[in-house]
Amino acid sequence: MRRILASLATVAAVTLAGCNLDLTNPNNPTLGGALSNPRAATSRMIVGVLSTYRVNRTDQIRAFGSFGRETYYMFITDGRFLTGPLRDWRQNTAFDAGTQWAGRYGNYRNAYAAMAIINATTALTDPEKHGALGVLKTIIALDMLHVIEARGAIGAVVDMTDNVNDVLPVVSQDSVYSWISAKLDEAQTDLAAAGTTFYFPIYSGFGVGVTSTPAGFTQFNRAIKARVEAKHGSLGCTTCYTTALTALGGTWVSATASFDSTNRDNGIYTIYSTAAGDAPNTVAFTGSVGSDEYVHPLIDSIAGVALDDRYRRKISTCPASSPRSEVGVSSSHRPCAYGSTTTSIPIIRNEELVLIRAEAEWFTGNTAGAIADLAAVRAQSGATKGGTAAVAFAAPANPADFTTELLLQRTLSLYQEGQRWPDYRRFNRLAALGTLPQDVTAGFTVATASVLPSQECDARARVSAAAPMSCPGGAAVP
Amino acid sequence: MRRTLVFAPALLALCLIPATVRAQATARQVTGKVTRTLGATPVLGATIVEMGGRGVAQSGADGNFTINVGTTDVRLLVRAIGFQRKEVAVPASQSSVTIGLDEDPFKLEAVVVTGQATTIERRNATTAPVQVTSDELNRAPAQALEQALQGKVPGAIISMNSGAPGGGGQVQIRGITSILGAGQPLFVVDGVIISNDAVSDGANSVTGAGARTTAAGIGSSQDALVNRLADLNMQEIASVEVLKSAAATAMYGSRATNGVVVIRTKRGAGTGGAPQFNLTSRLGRSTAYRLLGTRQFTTSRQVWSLPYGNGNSSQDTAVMNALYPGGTIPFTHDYQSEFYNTGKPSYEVTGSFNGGSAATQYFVNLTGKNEEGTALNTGARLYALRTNIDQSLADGKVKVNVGLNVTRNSNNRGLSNNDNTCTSPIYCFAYTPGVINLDSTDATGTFVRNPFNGGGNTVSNPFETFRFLRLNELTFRQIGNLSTTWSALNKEQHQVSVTATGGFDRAQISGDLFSPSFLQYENPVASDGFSGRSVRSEGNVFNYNLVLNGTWNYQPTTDIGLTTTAGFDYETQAVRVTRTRARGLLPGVETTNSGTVLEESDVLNNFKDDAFFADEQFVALNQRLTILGGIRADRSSANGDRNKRNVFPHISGSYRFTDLGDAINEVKIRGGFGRTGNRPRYGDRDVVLNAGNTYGGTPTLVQAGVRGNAGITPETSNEYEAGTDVQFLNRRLQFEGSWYNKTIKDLLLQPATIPSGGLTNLVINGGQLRTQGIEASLSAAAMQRRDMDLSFRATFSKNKQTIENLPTTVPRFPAPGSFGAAFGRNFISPGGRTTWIWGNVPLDAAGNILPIGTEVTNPGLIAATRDTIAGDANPDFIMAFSGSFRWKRLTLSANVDWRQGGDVADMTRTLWDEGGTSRDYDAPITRSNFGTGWDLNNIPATYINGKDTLAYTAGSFRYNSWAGGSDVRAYLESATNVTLRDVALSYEAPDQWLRYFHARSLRIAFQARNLIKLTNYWSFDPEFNNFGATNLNRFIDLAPFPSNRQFFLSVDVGW
Repeated sequence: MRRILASLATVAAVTLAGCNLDLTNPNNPTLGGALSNPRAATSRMIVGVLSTYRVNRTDQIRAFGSFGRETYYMFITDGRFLTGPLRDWRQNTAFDAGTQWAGRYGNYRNAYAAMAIINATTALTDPEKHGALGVLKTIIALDMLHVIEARGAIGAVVDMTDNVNDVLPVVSQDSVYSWISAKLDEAQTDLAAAGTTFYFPIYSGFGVGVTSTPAGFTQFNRAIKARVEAKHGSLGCTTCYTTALTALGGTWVSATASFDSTNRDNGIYTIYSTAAGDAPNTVAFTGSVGSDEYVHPLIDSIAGVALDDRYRRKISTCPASSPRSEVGVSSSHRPCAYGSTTTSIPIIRNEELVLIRAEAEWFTGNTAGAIADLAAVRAQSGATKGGTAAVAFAAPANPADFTTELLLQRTLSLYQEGQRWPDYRRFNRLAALGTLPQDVTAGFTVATASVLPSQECDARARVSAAAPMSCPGGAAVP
Repeated sequence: MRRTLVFAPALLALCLIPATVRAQATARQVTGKVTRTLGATPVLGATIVEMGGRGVAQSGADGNFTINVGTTDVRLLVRAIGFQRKEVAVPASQSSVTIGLDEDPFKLEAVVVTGQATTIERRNATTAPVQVTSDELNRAPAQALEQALQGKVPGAIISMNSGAPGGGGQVQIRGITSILGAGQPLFVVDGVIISNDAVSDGANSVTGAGARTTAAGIGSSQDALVNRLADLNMQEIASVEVLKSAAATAMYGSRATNGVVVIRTKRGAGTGGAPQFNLTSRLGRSTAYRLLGTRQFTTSRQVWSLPYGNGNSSQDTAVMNALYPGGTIPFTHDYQSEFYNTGKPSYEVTGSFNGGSAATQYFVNLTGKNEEGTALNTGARLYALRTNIDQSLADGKVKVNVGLNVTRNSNNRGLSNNDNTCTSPIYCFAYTPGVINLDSTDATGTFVRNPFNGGGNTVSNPFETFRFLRLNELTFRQIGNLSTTWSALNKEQHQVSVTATGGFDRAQISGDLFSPSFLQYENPVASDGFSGRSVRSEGNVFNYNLVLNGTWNYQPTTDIGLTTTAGFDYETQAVRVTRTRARGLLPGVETTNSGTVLEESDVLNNFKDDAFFADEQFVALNQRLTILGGIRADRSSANGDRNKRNVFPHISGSYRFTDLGDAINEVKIRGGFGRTGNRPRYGDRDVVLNAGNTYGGTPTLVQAGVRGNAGITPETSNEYEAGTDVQFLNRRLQFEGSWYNKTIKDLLLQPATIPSGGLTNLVINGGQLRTQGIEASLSAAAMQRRDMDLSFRATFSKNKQTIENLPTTVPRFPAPGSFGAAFGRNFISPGGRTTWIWGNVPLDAAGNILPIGTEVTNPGLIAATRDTIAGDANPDFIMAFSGSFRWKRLTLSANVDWRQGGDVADMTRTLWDEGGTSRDYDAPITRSNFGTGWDLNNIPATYINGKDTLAYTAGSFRYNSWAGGSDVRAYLESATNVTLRDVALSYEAPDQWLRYFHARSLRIAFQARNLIKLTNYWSFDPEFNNFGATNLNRFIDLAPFPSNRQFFLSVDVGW
């Protein structure tokens, strides 16, 4: 018996001693690791914010292309990519409902988390911190601009807290624009105190004709500011067009006379790569999404478009593609605004700045300047290689005609840059996008907004928060 | 010795030895034969024990045995599975004996597991465990263990994920127990907790199902995965015991919520005589059945009118004009019947040795099994070697059991399931009208290109793809176990033993995919921009577990038995999956050595768990009363607090009212409670960042969309069960009925956070599920005569699974793994059922649900589309019938499975209607074609599909009623089916045949699996699931590998 007990005790001792259940998770980077080297970690987090921005950007171009009748996304075996944005867009669960929502707030959270570490650390100098904060705040503002471009009258959430479950109010479109504008100014102040270099890498290809320094980034900040103010101006803000013109002064925008095809594309870009771990330009002609993107026939039917060099560059001289029909609509060819999966996508470039200037000038009374700027865009972008630019009103006599001409030029100059749908909405011209007979037959209507995703509605309903517009129980989208 | 709690053990065999053991000289040999009383046929594998002595033997296939016993008069106790035990006296003068055993049709004498090292006879069991014998498993060859168990386990839903060769299935016991945690039972083979992992080989790099363009997206759950049960060789298995009740599974603690499947392999029979050799050969084939058929095209105009660019691309216009200049199509190809039609033979050969002495027994089994798939270059090939050795040492006081299993399993399963590149055949055929001969090559051997559905590289020719695509999964696996029992004390009232059982399971799963750049979908470049791709994946699985325990049997009086067990359990599991992929291959390169883009992923998942346990088993009142109780305290590396022990108690009891008369012979009432757990997933406790995309050469850090929880705890299930077992009509009928109520709380949830908060999900514990159900079976030994036996069994089960509550912070959320509201999915919504299918349904202005078809017949009436309950995936009930009829030497046995009700999202049909190729596309729109629930009034005469004005037919009406997903009900179908799972007709050869072959036994059998399936289901099989094994959303049929039926001729010879 003693022998038994002795052996059992031995066995028990061995088993108890042998048990250590500690395991590490070696698959993911950890917050602990990040805090041990804030300089390296925040550097990678800032680049992560820029990187996430560009991935959302391709999705935005695809979704806004569908909403704005630039393209049909004819995904080969699933018609819901068409019916979602073009027909069922009031449903919170439809495809592309809630586009530019979760992804943009996700990047906001990336920036928010990075800023928390940057603000707390002692491992960075003050100028370094200001540089980082200026960049992050600018991107937050830009992300929020895309959110509100998609939402329109629904409005958006602008604040973020440490508690990821916080249900924060959806504020009006007007408030969102004001918030973005203020955030950009905040960022500008930071950038002004950032010294001459950033401590984190800004990718090569970020600026074409603009430097990747705090000074260059400030110009980028002002360019976005100008865009935001112009958009806000068209939505009824009385002083905003003036502010836009001021902001343009801080950018690389060319004078009307010196705008030409060589500086037309100067600006800020997101870059893409097929290297392992990197992200490709999916909306490119050969990209995984672009392969199913077809030109919306409304674009083809713009009067005089066939001779316009912008149309030629982006659409009519593309490699051959097969026609396609889906859910009752057809298109004969694909666009190639972005030729390959490594083609950069502009965030904002000189041509848009000139168009913003034209718009701001017109609506602040400088109609001659506005007409000259539009003429410069037509000449230097639409008629550079022997083409003839499409034109509706070469010398518009009233705001309505000017708006028609501005929208025409913006459509062609900024094709597949995610502008057409928000542009037509802010000038109350959405009806013009809904005129294609095959779209009408298919029951397609023009979305006035990308409604909130059902997860957002559900989360709000769960805590009995007031249902925002477009959610079940909330006001309908106009 | 302290009487309170003493470490003590016992191996199964030792438990059987009665209390009184006297030292005795072993001096004489008795030979004998064990036979069935009726018919005198030999009984294989009977255990013969010298009562009160040390002699032990086992009968061979001819029923013969040799046993060494004491010189005095002895009594032998003879037991065999399926027979009632018998004691016979062998006087000192007698040296040979023939023992006839009576049938035990209800397996009342079989032992069932009650603890890590304890068992009890089924007649005393406190629950109703299911036991499946080797004969039942091997009635007809099966692709994998799941398939062999189908229709044999009441209370479990056992489904194959597709008809692809090599297996891939799911066992779900007593409903959904978890939303995100483990959903499959624990599988234990000879004490080794084996891996049932499934590793993708990266087929989605071709099909584009899931995100295929990122390193993390190499491999998808939609890749028709094979779970590792597929490596088990059914020929090695002696029995499978399915523990469903928590009262029975609680001994497995925090991994037992989903039930436990205890598998025992065959062991040697120590006859002391010549070793026995058994050879089983099976030859047969698989044939595709229930193929979808095709629409018959008669005019080019019909093809031109199809959606998706058919008829107006330059490619198909040219082809159509050349083939059918008159515009008349005389013949439509049924691509599926041309494709799933290889007709190659399948075979299985098993040879086994079995023998040994009283001290040493061995069993060696070698099986080679080749299952040919119905499509070109598909198949599954399994080689399995098992060696089991039982050795007794130290005068029988120490028993050592060693088992080693080595398998090689090679699967070529082709492409199937979801697809975004038109490469999965059933998917692509849906969009390819059968008007050209795809299975043809030009003079250079190049296959014709599929011109339809856009043509070019956006589609494929599956005949070409399956000819040249390489997609192989090669698994090498070793499972070993070692068990040592020391019988430390063996007195009249006390037996104490100590057992150490350890085992490992090691598997290397190598996936090899090579898609040559000349294939249509790669040529000139695939839709991801690259041409040619190669994926190499290596899955390394290593599981290890060790149980140390002591058992003390104590019989204070002859009427009372107490068994006390206590011990310690330690388990580890690790799975590491490394994948590399090359896209844009250079000419001649087939490896991932070079390519335009090289991607790599490497993910490790590992767990360590340990537990202390103690169990008590009490049998009294002349074996009428049984009480089992126990407790287990677990820790796991997956828990937030790794040092906290989670306690899992169980208690159960049964009482038998015996000798009640001839009409009702015996009534047992039983009841129990058990608590089990389901530990968190690996990494749920870790709050991490994610690696973002590299940008401009800089690696990036981003927030993890899912935030881990350092306080995560296991899910806990509390289950009450009550039941009764009744034997009546002179013990010819037995009824078993059980009711259970299972409540699972602290569910592992990953609720969506509010999107404007910037994350996607948090990991939390919360909420509660409840499953209530009944299981019943009626068994009949209707006839037992010399020349004729007839037995029959019917089982019934049904349950109801509700979501009792969710934390207030958790928004209701769709279960992961589905295609959204357009096709339906389970929704985790308080007060609802886990099995409800939610999807889009049209409503009128008053909020009433409109009939199906309204999208076409009365679209003006539709005021809104709501994502609501549109169906229920849960069967109303499941019944199974099995029976066996013997007439002289001929035996017919069969198993029929009946699933009543439950809905399936038949997305395969959506594809075929969308492509305009479904077999009933042109059928009239009649009530009998559509059934109730449809509005067939006011169907417009025509519709415009973009190119043409067409009359509504069944296919277009159905598709337009679905309206791009606005009415999910258009493609929800009932899963009701009756399936003849397996059937065998066998003939036991007479002695003159045996003499001719010098054989001991010879049996010839015709066997078939899935011979008949009766169902109105439109596609292949309602049990198939695109996402493979999933806890929820197991109702999504999307272009699977078609179902097949198998026929075999089997010859079984023993020497």
